[in-house]
Amino acid sequence: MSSLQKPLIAVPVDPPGPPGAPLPRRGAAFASADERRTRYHLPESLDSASPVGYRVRVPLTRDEAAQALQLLALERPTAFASAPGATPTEGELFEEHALGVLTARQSTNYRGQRVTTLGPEGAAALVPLLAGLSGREAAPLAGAAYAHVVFSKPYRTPFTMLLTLAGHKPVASLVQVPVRIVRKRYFEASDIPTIGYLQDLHVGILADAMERAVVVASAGRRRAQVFMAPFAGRHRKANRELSRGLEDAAGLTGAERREGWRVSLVVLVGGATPGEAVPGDAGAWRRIGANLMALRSERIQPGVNQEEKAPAPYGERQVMDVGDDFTEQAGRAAFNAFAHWTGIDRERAKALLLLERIDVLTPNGKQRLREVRQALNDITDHVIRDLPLWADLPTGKVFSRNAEKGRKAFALAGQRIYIGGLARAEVEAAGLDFLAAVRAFGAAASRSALYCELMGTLDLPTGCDLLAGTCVMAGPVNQNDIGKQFYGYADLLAGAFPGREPTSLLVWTLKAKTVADPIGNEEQLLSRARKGALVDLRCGPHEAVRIQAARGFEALRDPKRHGRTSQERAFAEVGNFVTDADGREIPGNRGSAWPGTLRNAPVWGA
Amino acid sequence: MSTALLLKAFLTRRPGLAPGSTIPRMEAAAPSAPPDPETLARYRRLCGFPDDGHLPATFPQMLAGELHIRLLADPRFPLPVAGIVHFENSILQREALPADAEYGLNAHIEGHRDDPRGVLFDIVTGMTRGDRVVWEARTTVLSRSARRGRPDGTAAARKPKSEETRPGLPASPLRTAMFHLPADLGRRYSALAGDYNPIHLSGLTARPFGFKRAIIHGMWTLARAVGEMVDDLPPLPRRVDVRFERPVFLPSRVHLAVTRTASAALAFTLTSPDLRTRHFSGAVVHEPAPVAPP
Repeated sequence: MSSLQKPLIAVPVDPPGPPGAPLPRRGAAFASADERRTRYHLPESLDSASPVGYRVRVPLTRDEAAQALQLLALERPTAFASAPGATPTEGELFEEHALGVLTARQSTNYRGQRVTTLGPEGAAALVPLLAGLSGREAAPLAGAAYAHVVFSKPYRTPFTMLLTLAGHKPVASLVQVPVRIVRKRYFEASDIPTIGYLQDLHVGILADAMERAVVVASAGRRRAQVFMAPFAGRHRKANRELSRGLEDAAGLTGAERREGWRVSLVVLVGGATPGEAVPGDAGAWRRIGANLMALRSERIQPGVNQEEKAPAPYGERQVMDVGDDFTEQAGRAAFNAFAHWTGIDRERAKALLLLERIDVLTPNGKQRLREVRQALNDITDHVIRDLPLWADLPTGKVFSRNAEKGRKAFALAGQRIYIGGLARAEVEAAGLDFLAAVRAFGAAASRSALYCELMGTLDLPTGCDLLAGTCVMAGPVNQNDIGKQFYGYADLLAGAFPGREPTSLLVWTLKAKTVADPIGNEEQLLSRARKGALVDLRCGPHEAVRIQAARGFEALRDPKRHGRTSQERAFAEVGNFVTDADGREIPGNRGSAWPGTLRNAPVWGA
Repeated sequence: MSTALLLKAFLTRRPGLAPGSTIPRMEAAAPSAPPDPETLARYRRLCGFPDDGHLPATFPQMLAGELHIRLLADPRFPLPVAGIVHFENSILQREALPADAEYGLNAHIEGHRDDPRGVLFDIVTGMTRGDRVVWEARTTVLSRSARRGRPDGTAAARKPKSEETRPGLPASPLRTAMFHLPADLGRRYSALAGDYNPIHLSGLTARPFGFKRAIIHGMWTLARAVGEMVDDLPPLPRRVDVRFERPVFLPSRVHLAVTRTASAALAFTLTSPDLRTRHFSGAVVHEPAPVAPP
């Protein structure tokens, strides 16, 4: 362990109420034939190529938790071994991507990342290019068994479309809106800075996830060397030619480049040397993998902030708290990640990461939360008031209605709320590129959240789905940024860090009191066109992963080639699929394993 | 498959079964030959079979399509061909079928059974390798227009369209998969199999036969199901039995659930995604060869 990262220890979360007291159950059920289905019912079916499905968390033992926590303090490998098993089978590669690009992104409607995976020869061809990059984290290692080249593009969703219309004067909007559209479409400009940062935050989250994914999918036999900083900020400009070479080597087409896709990460993967293999029980790695799938499962656990129409059990309060030792470890995970990805000293990392803690259980915390909510609501009022009528009226007020619905997304609910950010001047004074630091911040946030999620599955009592969970979101920060850019509001962190000119980037809500059945689905994912059927917005392997094959680049599990779409759920044999109280499964949820003749074969020959 | 043969089969006016009569025995055979690799590759892609160097269990039945049409085009065959529907299928695969081996095919039809819905008859198909029968199948077909009146003079009882309560999936199924069937799937399978029954081609051609839209071939749905559970199949020799219950309209989505039964056999059902309509159910069992008497 270097001076940059510290090992983490497991801190269990006590179940709510006195020991042995019955836990609240929410009775996940299918809607009956004469009942109107709501978000509180189990989905009718799942039709998805995503490797996730509706999962329940896997209770981890202390030993399994300790094994999992190694993933939160991984160091870069110093060499690759040409050990047997360095070459992945197709199934291992699928599960590695399942833990990486297919799930790492926290947003369900942002398909802004893709990967091309190259075989050993392709990986070797990347090494000279990587060696020439400025700002790289380490010298590229020889002997990689394969490599991932990750592409990303600017964050664009229906919300960012709405943003195009925000903050205009009534008449000027006729000119300003088209100008903004052109700048967004052709110059990668964002309406507000924090929207631009989302792409980098997502890349950071993915980088951290991919480093872990390689270990879990190979049961500790392989390690990943990840290059992220050379593709951000000032290094990205300096490395333009070499980046282009990497993009060409990974088959990025001209059309994709015009859509804004650019190389954002390169990951070399190889056999772990004996001293750098991550020890652990093979079965436990499978359970950890299944658990990681469950933590990314598309589900909600409506808490106490649910709407009036919710069934009574959802309103049941669960008095429960986590101790300071728990939050200290969560913080340690974040500092580990920030130090790891920026390469700066751990104490410096602690000083640079700006975190405001709002303890909702205290009077001061309640007051602060009210202030934040009020400010965000006021900004929403401004946005709706100023929306250009020439755009809103012809579309049936779809923009103002969406803005109104957005209030729910900004409703901060949780027991502890953290607002995190960076101060650009301080980051740059530390010799870091700001956008590279934003990426590291994304990794820090997701790693901290993962600590909470993993501990929320430690020693789970029977019938309990989780003991802690977190929600990491950028919505409140983006809303605040609209206020900053157009209406003169201060940054969310300005009060907590006066004089430091902070930029808030993400908000974590830690919900240690939620004990819930994993049921329902996001209302926003219900498609009217599909008559209420769930639309799974997460992608399948063929949609986000290309592999280098003898015939050129081809989609992983290409339906056109195989005559079938992958419906395999990663780590499915662990069996952590959602059922109703009678044990009935959701049709299509368990999925179907890819044929063994294909998934057990090595991807690039023996 | 020759167009003339198809037209003959589909357009020839047939009298139907006269009271007291049955379908006479008719036979057809094809000489031994290796399967066309291109056709096999197209079949695998269309039905989702991995290329494992062997013929899928359902492939010989598609190969035998021409023999079946030849039998149905025979002037002695008394029933109208257009509009017949696949009712049941039973395949016995005795041994592995290497893709590059030579196989002979034979088929015959003989007799019928009365049914409340019309007339059922069997097409029995065999595939040989050398002098061994390596694969055989019994395809039960329903002819709904075979008789003008029901044999007992009563009206056929209609099944309720959907069940009142939502049926559940069995606990811990082996796999559950969702299939998307595009609108042109019937035409694509028809082109491959040479089965141009109008009920599979378009809504327009299916409507005269009582279907609101085109329906997919039963053998495609069975093949797709077998392709999905290819890793779970019990050892050879094995039998695949299926009963088709409701047609699958095009385009649509269907859900396959596969479970392992206590006897290490597989049970499978194809339903609508909400489980309320069952399209077929079947089983795959290991069927040891009978022990020869001493």
